[in-house]
Amino acid sequence: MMTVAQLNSIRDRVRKELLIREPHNRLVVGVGTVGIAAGAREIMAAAMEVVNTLGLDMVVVGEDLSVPAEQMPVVRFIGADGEEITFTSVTASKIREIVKDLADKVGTAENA
Amino acid sequence: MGLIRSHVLVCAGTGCVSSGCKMMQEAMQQALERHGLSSEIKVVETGCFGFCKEGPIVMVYPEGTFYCQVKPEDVEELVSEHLLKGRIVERLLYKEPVSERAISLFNDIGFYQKQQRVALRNCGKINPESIEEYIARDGYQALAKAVTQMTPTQVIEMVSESGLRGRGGGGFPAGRKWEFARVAQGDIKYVVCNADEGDPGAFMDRSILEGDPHSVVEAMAIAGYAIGAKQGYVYVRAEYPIAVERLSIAIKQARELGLLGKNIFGSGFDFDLGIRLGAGAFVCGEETALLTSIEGHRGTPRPRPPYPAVKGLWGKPTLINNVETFANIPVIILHGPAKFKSIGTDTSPGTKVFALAGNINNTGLVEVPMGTTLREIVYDIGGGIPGGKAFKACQTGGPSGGCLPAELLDTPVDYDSLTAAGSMMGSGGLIVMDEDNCMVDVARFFLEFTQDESCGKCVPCREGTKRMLEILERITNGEGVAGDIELLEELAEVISRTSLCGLGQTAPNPVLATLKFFRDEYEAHIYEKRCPAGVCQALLSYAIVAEKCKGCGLCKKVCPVDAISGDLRQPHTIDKDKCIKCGACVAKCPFKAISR
Amino acid sequence: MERIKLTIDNKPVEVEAGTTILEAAQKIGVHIPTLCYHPELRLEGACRICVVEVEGLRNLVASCVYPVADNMVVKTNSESVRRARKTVLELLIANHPMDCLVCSRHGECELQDLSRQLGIRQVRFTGGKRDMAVDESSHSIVRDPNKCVLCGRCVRVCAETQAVSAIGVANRGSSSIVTTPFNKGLADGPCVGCGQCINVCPVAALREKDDTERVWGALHDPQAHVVVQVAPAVRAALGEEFGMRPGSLVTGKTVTALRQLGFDQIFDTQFAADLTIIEEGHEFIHRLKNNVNLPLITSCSPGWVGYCERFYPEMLPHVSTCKSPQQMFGVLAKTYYAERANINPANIFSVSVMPCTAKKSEAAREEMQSSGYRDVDAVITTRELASMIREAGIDFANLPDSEFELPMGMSTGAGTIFGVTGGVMEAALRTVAEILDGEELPSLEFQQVRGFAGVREATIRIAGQPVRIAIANGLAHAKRLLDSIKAGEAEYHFIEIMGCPGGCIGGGGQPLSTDPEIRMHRAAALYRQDMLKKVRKSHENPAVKELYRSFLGEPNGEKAHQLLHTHYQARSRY
Ligand SMILES: Cc1cc2nc3c(=O)[nH]c(=O)nc-3n(C[C@H](O)[C@H](O)[C@H](O)COP(=O)(O)O)c2cc1C
Ligand code: SF4
Ligand code: SF4
Ligand code: SF4
Repeated sequence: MMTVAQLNSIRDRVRKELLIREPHNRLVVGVGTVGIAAGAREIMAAAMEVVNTLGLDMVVVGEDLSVPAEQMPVVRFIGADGEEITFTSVTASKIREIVKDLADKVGTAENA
Repeated sequence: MGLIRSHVLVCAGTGCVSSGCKMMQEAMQQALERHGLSSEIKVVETGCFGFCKEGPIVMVYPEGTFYCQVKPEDVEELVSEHLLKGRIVERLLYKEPVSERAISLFNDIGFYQKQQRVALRNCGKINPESIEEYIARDGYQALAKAVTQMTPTQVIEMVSESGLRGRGGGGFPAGRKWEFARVAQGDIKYVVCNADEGDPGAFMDRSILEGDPHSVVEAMAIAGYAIGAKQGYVYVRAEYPIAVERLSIAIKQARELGLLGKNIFGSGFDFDLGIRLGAGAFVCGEETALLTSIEGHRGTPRPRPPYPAVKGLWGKPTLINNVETFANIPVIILHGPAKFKSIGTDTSPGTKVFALAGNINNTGLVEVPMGTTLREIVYDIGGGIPGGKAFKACQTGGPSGGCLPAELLDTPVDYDSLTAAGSMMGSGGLIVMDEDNCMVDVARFFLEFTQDESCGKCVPCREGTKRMLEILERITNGEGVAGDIELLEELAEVISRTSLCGLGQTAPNPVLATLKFFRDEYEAHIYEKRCPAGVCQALLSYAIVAEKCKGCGLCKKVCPVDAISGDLRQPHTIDKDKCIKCGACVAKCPFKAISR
Repeated sequence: MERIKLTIDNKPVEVEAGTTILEAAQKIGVHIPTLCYHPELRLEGACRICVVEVEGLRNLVASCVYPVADNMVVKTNSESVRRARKTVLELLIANHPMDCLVCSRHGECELQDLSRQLGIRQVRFTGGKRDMAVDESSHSIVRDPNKCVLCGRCVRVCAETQAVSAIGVANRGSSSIVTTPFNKGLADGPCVGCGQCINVCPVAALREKDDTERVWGALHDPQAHVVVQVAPAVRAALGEEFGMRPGSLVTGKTVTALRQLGFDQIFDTQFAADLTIIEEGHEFIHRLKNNVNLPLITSCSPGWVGYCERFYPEMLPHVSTCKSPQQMFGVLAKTYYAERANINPANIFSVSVMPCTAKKSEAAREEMQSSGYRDVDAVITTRELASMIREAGIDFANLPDSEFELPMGMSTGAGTIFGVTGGVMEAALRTVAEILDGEELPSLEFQQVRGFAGVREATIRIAGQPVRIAIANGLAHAKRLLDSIKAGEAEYHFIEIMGCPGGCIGGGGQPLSTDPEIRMHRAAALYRQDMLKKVRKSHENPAVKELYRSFLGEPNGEKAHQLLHTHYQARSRY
């Protein structure tokens, strides 16, 4: 027999996974050939790790953002309300801080 | 990386499976492995997105990019460009029929913009073989609420209050039916889901079962609680193997989690489900025939009353609803009737799923609020008529529905408006016809279907539809005589008023509706021996219009029976005795000089 | 029971809840035409001939299935009802061969009757008609799907009354037909030839195999010595064919008619029935004393025997090895009678007149040649005899009586009641009880075994011992009885089973009717005849005694066994 509490706990756990399909807040990492050469994939990995650890209501997306090569790697935050913030010349360690700073803005997936 | 950053949803509904999604999906897995992405990108099989014409369909999340007609050979590019480098693969995007504009986001596509997905809420969004994904989208919350917080009467009041009407064709208020079944005397009762879906164009029930089977399982359990039944059956046609498989998986998973079985949510309520396969006769969708078939007999209708709610399966009170009807139930219970009623019209609340087909750019499944006009469906969602042809009519209600002409394009689709206009809602088939369709031939076509599917039990339907069809065949063969229209009308009236079941009662509708709106076409066939749309072979007479003919001789070359003669740069002529009316010359003539 | 008030054609009527409109109309003498409706069968509501208008409903409803409701206003003859009814019938007729003039049911056809009643004067539909092969595979039944109106009455009677299901509806829509499993010949399926389907068929789509021409042929053949036997149930029904009241006993007229038709010797199957009682009675006493193969089950009904062979082969050891009276008679006609009359048996043509179509198949069984010839050459039904009498221009109703020829025309009242359910049992008890008790019975009527209930049972004390007996008529009831025995719920010593409802009086060869009331009249006629007989116990039939003395020897003796007993075999149903 399943209890309502058990049902809710499955719901909450899997709902987080499914946020990818209906994202509220997005962190777009400029991938593409230049971006990847500049270390975009490592940045993505780092960003996802923090998002996951903090359980944030935010998904990390790779996109071919068009910015001048010298600004690469580039990361753009797009909030649920449409707010956009662009970060340039990002590094793996910088991105950790950026994500932590965004944490308050996006909130946790738990409360999504 | 280890963390999943993207979900690639691949449609695995019947439409896409038949257009090759399995091979494509394998290619996708391999490409992901090759690029070392398999640990961060998850491929998910989903149910139908509805846009089957464009299948196989691939959705990439979180971007929400919508790719169409993806073939195995496209996969490498999709993975290396989009999934690795974040570059959208333009050529695989959906292109708007008129503007040719490529659109990447699902919600920006006209086909989806005007839709509102209630019954199809999870189709294409979740993996139908994962009960957890269903639960994540509030699945089984309605059941939990019903059995732990509500009395059966309260559940039924809520369904009544929502105004939900049966989506299987009749449009009977669901709440009233549930109440009949609840008050019916009987220690044993049953809940039955009608998933026979006999209407040849329709596939919404299949899509729901393939894309969101748990919604039906949950709703049937709620119904069981409401009427006092412990057992339910889903009657699915055997030609829907994927639906059957997904439903079996869903039932198994629900049993494993205790969402079916004994003492659900500790409420003391027991409920279980079984699947029964139908052989696929159209008439087996009729509720009494369906029950007879479940009982193991030849599926023929029985007289009503008694109605199934009083005396149904094995003589016990039985609630029978359609798949789409059930799919709406959890939403109503969870979010309340007011929210449901805020969609649609007063007398027809909620949405309805239609299967768009025929001469229209976007074919597929669309779910729209009741009250949306035919025009919006045909033009805004369906993308209009291909090749710049003129709209002529649209058939709603399946083979026993009616054809509405262009003047009625602003008819809102809801039960009452469609009936008032001379057609009906039916199960939601919507077939668009353009200027090249002969309406007599269309009526003949539909009648051929119903007369073929008549179970043969009662005389008016068995014998009458046969005679109606014979008359229509005569008319389209150029052998119509004065009096045929009147005889058709008389037969139609008798058949519809005396037949035993809905099949016979509605079988004459296509003829009545085309007679109502396109009587002149019948008259042209009978009295002038002419088919205005140029469809009925026997009535065509090919001739070259001398003024238009430039004497290029192309028609002469293409004619398979050498019926065309003429000197170069002189008007040509067709020998009517030789002509076999194949139409090859018409297609070839660059000057449109050949008439028929 | 709740009472419901409604009006039909402006006449008020009050009936019980659950009554159909048709029943309510009948109650006040409003006649609604019907076709697929049959009072003894499950309701179908299929033909739509009985449609009526109910105020407030858009569609017309089938009155045979539609339940009455309070304040309902019904019209059975409104304009739309009349038009619909006529069009429906016209549609039915349009797909019918319309060869009435040469049809076996001409004048006795419900489709003709309806057409006349509704005044159909034209058929406007000129399209295709069915063109299907006629099934003549069975010795008993001919199936002509071209005439079938698909009312389903035969399908229902075969399944519901007979538990055989030899025929069913196949295909869909306008290709629907009533046919056998796998569309084989009727003879190659489970059909037992009982002919109940003929009795309910409104048209000539089901009819008996017509053997009258063979009989006429023999009558016209100067070489042939034509003997005829007449089964008990025939005399209780033949009169109906000539407008006489049901229950008229026409034994003497039948003999006269047969004589006028030119039969050389007119004998009585009842003679053989008495003989059957002697043989079967001794068989029963033997089994009872040795306690083997009990219960003993009677074997006179070929419909039942065929059913047992196909559906309950494990019960075959219980079935009496006695041939049926028809076949006992057949073998004796070509041995005992031939010897006595000094006629070459090769020249004897033996005819039997039976209430039964299954008898035709029985006579054709390979083992039924104990005389060295086919024991019974031709079997005609009561209906076929009537048609011969009509053809010969005989004014049957006004014929004088005459007597059967001796010795094989002599019979007792016990032989007479063979024709009604329970009769064989009663006849057997009269003999067995007297033999075992060793003293004369105080009363001959065993009321416990009479009646028409599908299954009846009783315990009779014979020689101080309780003998448990049971009687079933109609094969569905036989099935119920056998199943209860197999399940160990009941135990008997002696069982009578008749294949048809009511026994032979309700046989598939009788004048067309399945009206239970008419069956009762026929039964009453046989019981009346029994009362009138001077001798009412088979073992007291002097002609039978003489037969044993001069020809057979001992009951169940060697010669009796050779000539009068048979064996059975399990048969495949498909
Ligand atoms: C010929 C015929 C075919 C039908 N086929 C279907 C069908 O395929 N699916 C369905 O749900 N209802 C079908 N129906 C309607 C059912 O009889 C019944 O009304 C319906 O299942 C009730 O469910 P609902 O009230 O939820 O619509 C059919 C009716 C007729 C007369
Ligand atoms: S109306 Fe047609 S499908 Fe329905 S019972 Fe009659 S014959 Fe069968
Ligand atoms: S003869 Fe008897 S068994 Fe044969 S089909 Fe007719 S009813 Fe059935
Ligand atoms: S054979 Fe006779 S009884 Fe049987 S369905 Fe046809 S018409 Fe009716």
